Amino acid sequence: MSTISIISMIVILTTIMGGFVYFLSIAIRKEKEKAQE
Amino acid sequence: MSKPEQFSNRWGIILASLGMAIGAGNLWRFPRLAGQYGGTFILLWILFLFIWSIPLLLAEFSIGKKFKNGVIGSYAQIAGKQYTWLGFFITICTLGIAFYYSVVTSWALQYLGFAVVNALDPIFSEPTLAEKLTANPMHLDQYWDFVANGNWLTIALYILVTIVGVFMLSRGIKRGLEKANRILIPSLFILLIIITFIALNMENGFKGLEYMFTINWSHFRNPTVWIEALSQSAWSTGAGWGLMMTISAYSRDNEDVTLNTFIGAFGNNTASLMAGMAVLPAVFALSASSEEAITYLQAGNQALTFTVIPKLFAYIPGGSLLSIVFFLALFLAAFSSLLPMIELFTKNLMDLGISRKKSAIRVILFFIIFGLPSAYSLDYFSNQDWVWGIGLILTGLFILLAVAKYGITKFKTELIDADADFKVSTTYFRVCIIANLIIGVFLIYWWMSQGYSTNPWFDDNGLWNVFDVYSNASIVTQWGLVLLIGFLLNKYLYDKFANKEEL
Repeated sequence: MSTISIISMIVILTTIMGGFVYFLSIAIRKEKEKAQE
Repeated sequence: MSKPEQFSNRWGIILASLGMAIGAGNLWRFPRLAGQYGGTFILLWILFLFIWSIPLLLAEFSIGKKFKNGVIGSYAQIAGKQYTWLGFFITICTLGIAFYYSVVTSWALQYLGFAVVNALDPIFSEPTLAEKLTANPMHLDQYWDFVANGNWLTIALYILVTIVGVFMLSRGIKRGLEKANRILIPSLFILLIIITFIALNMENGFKGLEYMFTINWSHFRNPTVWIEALSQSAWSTGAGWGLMMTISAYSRDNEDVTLNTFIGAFGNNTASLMAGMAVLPAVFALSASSEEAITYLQAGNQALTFTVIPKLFAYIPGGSLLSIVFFLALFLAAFSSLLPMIELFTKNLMDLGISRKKSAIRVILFFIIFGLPSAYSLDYFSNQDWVWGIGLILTGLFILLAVAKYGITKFKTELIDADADFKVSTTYFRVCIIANLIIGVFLIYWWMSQGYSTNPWFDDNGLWNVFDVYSNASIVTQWGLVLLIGFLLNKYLYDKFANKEEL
């Protein structure tokens, strides 16, 4: 794979899959906070 | 009065939104387009996730959460009494898709059975699929033709998947939809991880990844790539279908809208990327050349899924097992999307005062009657896919109009931001809603001007070409009929679906 393809893959996967994991982690944190209240 | 049904917690509604969004399109349309147009398509697809899909999903989620009705009732309450007929159109459009989507689910099930039989053939000393293809290269094409046209097993299976889906939902939101999604969605992600892992380990599999992620700057000047990226985002996320509005009608009163929407939207796109990373390396690894792989990808959704992929898998060790995993994933994805479509219908019937249990038999009958032609004829299926697929852009526009009428800033502040765990900018939301009103109109015009029919309006004899599979005349006639019926019944629809207290 060319360098540009690898960079593009990393950017795309990080944005989408990373975003998914990031938003999920916020939701998990919020639920924990609500459970503790 | 009994307590209204609702999801037991945040995860229930997130799983439901993932199940709604992740469907056959993630496995058969996204990989095809990502392979054809590469990273350029994916970047634009991400852009339109933010411009088209997320604002629409935010709007739908908020409307469902606020009014807790089916689509007709909720739409009438947000847009106003005189616009109830537009909510009726959204409902009928999504049902038009649901009726043939149950057939897609049955195809996936039938091919899962086909894959299992092929895997078992060597055990019973029967010829393998590869041997059958050597003896008859058209074997898979003939099988697909057999399945898609006048096949009683297809009809029996689509009735079966409908009955199973309705039965699951008849158990209620918590015990039905929520419970089913707890099994369906994790299983689907696990299967996608398995296929991706196997495909990426194939020799030359990386070529598929290279095609998928390479950015060809000249593609940015190709309007088709932009349109395909927008259409894929619109169709794949379920934005504008009324499905999110239906699901969120069961949300808790203080449910967050924004964070849950982002999780659903990004989860859907994650599943698409995984499907692309599974299918494309396999197609490129198993094709004789990159040109042949591209030709396969251009064959169309159904051909790629039901003739190309089984053929490619037939020639590799362990391919029969991979085929089973792929079609099981396709079935789970299709079935998890079918459930909210059935629920959309059920919820509207429940708004009429019919109990969930009593709605079940009516839903089954409607699906059997209106899905039958699509199960029997591929031409009818294609026509419905054409008419109601483009109709989804129109339904998206209707939802945008409702938001605009309510007041975009007011809508954002009162309905989206209430109970939000995080907020998006009001300017972003406002700009997207206004831009999408223009984009949506252009998108409908673009699809209708593509010339898929040689006679888009009138046939060679000068007659209205309504019976042509891909004609614009067919679109305008079917849309027009539904809009006319809705318009004529507007008062009745409002009284029955939205103004229930006064009855």
